[in-house]
Amino acid sequence: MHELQVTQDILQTVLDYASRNDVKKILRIRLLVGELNDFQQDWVQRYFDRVSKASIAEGAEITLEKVPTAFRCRDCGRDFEVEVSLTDRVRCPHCGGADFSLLRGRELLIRDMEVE
Amino acid sequence: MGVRLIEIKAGILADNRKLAEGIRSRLKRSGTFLLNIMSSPGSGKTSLILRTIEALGSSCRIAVIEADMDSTVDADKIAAAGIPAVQLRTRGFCHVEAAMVEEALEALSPGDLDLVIIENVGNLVCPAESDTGAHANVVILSVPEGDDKPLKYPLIFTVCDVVVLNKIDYLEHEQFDTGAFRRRIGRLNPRASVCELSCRSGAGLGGWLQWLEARLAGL
Ligand SMILES: Nc1nc2c(ncn2[C@@H]2O[C@H](COP(=O)(O)OP(=O)(O)OP(=O)(O)O)[C@@H](O)[C@H]2O)c(=O)[nH]1
Ligand SMILES: [Mg+2]
Ligand SMILES: [Zn+2]
Repeated sequence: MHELQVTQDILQTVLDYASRNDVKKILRIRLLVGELNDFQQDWVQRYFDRVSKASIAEGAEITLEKVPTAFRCRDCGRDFEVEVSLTDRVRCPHCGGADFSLLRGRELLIRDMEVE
Repeated sequence: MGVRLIEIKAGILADNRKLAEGIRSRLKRSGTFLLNIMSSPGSGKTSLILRTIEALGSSCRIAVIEADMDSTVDADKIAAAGIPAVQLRTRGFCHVEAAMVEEALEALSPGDLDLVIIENVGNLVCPAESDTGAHANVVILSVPEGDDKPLKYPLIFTVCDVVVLNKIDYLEHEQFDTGAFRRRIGRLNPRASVCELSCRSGAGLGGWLQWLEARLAGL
């Protein structure tokens, strides 16, 4: 994970939204992060504290919501979640099919922020 | 005014994805296939590129974008094979991004090329997170790295179209379970092809070239 770059991108986006919404201070930023991303929250927070100095985002807390990995079965069309690091072989729990596409698990999004 | 919640729902690094989409469609129109090769350091990216040039170089106009961090060693090897090579200035980046590819393409005149190969930075984490604009992604894993890598670095195995298992000449010395390796890829990405080969001996290269030629024909 290129944490510094991710951090700078987050800062830019939240400052942009803040300027359009008459924000005085950004308190908390909530991210949505797919489980497949190797996201190091402590580093992102550390970098963020540094790059946000003297901006209205200084001191903001970054929190994550993890998105579990999910697949869509190409045989029966139904969706299922899997703990990828624990399983060696994935099968559709509905029909036993073995052909599927990744539905969730790769996302990297800013969900919302708390401001005043 | 009290505390408010502002919805954002914006992708992080979304600009890169937009740029990558642009590169992909532009190159498709000009009939140039962009191939992105990713692996750990030393798994055999340069070796596979050289083998590919050797086999297809006379029938296919190829160029290479090299992303070595600090040296031009790999770019020099490609140039010695008579193929245009552009050295990216990755500036200490841990991966190649679309903006760098765009810059490199300007130096190449892609209209006259059939295939442009990116040798990404040696790393199994960051390159997986950045769309380069490629039409297909290759992950190389070499036998000495072990069959457990899809468990440890799942993301990269979900963004690839083909996995090359290189250095199969080491199979007799290493505890590498190719069946387990294929299953671990299959559960993340059931449509990915797997090619087992050795860039050293040349064994198995036919399967790789077949995969590549089919993709080139399908652009
Ligand atoms: N035994 C064996 N060695 C190989 C094979 N393929 C490549 N090598 C050797 O592995 C070493 C690394 O190969 P490269 O092709 O330079 O690997 P790379 O991924 O480009 O490495 P970086 O650019 O440094 O990340 C070289 O010494 C190659 O000769 C193979 O199939 N078998
Ligand atoms: Mg190399
Ligand atoms: Zn099913």
